[in-house]
Amino acid sequence: MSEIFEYKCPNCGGPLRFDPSAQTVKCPYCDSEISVEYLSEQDKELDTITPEESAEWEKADDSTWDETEDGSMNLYVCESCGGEILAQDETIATSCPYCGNPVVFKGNIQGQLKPEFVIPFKLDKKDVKDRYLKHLEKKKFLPKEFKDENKINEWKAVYVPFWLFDCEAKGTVHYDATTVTAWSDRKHDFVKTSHYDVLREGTIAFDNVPVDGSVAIQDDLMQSIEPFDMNEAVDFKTAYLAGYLADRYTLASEDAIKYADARIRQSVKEEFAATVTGFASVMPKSENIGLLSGKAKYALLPVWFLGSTYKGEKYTFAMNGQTGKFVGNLPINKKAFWKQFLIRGLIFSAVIFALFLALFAF
Amino acid sequence: MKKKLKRILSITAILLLLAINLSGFAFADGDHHKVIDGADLLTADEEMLLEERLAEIENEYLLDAVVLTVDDTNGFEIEDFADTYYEENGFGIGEDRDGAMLVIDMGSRSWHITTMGKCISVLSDDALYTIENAMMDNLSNGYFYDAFYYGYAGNIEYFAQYFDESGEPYSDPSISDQADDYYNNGDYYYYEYEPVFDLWTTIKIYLPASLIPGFAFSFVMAKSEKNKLTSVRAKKEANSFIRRGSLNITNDRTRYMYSNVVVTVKQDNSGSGASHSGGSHVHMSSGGHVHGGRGGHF
Repeated sequence: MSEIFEYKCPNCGGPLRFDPSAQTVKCPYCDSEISVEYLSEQDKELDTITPEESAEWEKADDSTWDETEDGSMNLYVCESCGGEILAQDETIATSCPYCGNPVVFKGNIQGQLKPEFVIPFKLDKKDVKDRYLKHLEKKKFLPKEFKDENKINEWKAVYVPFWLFDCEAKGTVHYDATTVTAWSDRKHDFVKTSHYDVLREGTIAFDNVPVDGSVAIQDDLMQSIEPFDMNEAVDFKTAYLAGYLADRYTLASEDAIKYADARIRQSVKEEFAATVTGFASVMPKSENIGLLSGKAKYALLPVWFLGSTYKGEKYTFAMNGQTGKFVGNLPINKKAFWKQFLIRGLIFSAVIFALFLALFAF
Repeated sequence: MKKKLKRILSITAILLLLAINLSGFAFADGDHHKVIDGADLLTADEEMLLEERLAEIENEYLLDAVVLTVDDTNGFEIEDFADTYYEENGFGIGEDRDGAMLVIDMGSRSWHITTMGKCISVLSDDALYTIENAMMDNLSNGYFYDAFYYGYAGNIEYFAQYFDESGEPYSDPSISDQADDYYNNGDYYYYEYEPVFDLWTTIKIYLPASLIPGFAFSFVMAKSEKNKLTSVRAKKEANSFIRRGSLNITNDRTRYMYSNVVVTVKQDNSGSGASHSGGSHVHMSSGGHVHGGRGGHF
């Protein structure tokens, strides 16, 4: 099973890793910088599928996709230390648990769709630490001890598999809109409400609507670190994965599409509704939205994950490995919340009451 | 000797008290008969029931409501007669002599209500006009008990309660014009009630009025601070992925369907003559005191 690919430094033989600040592959031992192109020559054997192929939505199934069950494991042998690595089918890249060498399982990439794009990591561990601390700043109701007592027990830099959908959405929406006019004569007040049928028909184009392709990773967590700047996406080369964790997708594009579909529809509704102006009220009566010329692309996007435990509860944080956007829910100090509410409430009430009394004095 | 003196003194004291009570000497505190039926319009039972009701009104609302019926007013104008009778017999509660008296003169078939003190405001022009309308039919047809018990006493209770609960005199803009007409002949002044600044009432009303917005505001602020702790939210839309400038509306027709008109009749608040409502017209009595009041014939 020579399916493990380990990038070795041509200079000293050390394990190569992708360096985000230099945006190249570097050897941590001799500081040599290796061009990604040189390494891509070694990838030639991985090119069993032409890179430009993407799943059209019209295609029901991709025949080359390896339909293995989730949860089945494979055994690999580390070429550096000989240690046995047990890895799931989804894993594309990881590190040897014994010697820490980065490994890429080319066998798991073979036989399935190769990612089209990858956005390389731009931020490293130090950046994550900085942004984590910044995330805790200025949070009024965060328990004071959290900063000290929150144990971060996991730092992971992962290339998360995403489906990116391009499409053109076509919509036909009818609205019931009203205008109101009012006037009076000496004895009566009149209010006239006029109803209009307003039509909006048109198209909007969407690029790279992302859907988290890993069932195991929380969707809302991935949505919260959007957007990624696709201008910095490069053609996929396995070299970029060196030193990072990566999984292949566990959600097929046909299943992922429905998540993108819902979001696209909602955007179409909002954009169309925004063009209906000048009315007192606008209510959508019928909405007919269809998606045309859809294209699905498979990409790996960089995400930092932090796992932590505080007072027995798990807290997960994620950071966009390209833009640095840091998210993660924090615990609330309820006592502090209610105390603030009470104190502020009393102060505001006292001020308002004083204003009332002042009114009476004059 | 001492024993005898004591005895004499105590007997004298008792006799004096008895005399005072029996003579019906009126203190300025309503401790007197409230129904003086000189013209004998009511039965003994009716008198007793009416007395009870008027006494209840005094207990509850601290005003002295009286009914007086006579066969003639000794040549006096009924308004003057009523004012003077009220003053000289010490009616009314407290130093302002709060109270009202209804006089029925069978000789001229006229009636008059005179008011003093707080009752001037409690029985505003609109209130007195309402009482007149309530009593008129019964007076004309000789149902005096009904007129006094329901038309007079019943309404006084209603207006007194209204005044207590709302802090304002009763006003009904739809009748203010007609109510005002009565005062066009004669020396009447228009008096608008101004509530005395009462700390307790002020606190009762304005404390909740400040607490509610105060705490609402505080809650909104605290909630927004709390929301900063939540940064993980699912996205319902894909707005950031819309290709710039790709929104292309190909058809934007607006078509008129129908309309409807809602007509409401205006509330005629100002009216043609009266520019006010809820106040009371007052005049000076011959005794030099301020009275409110109203009268007429039946």
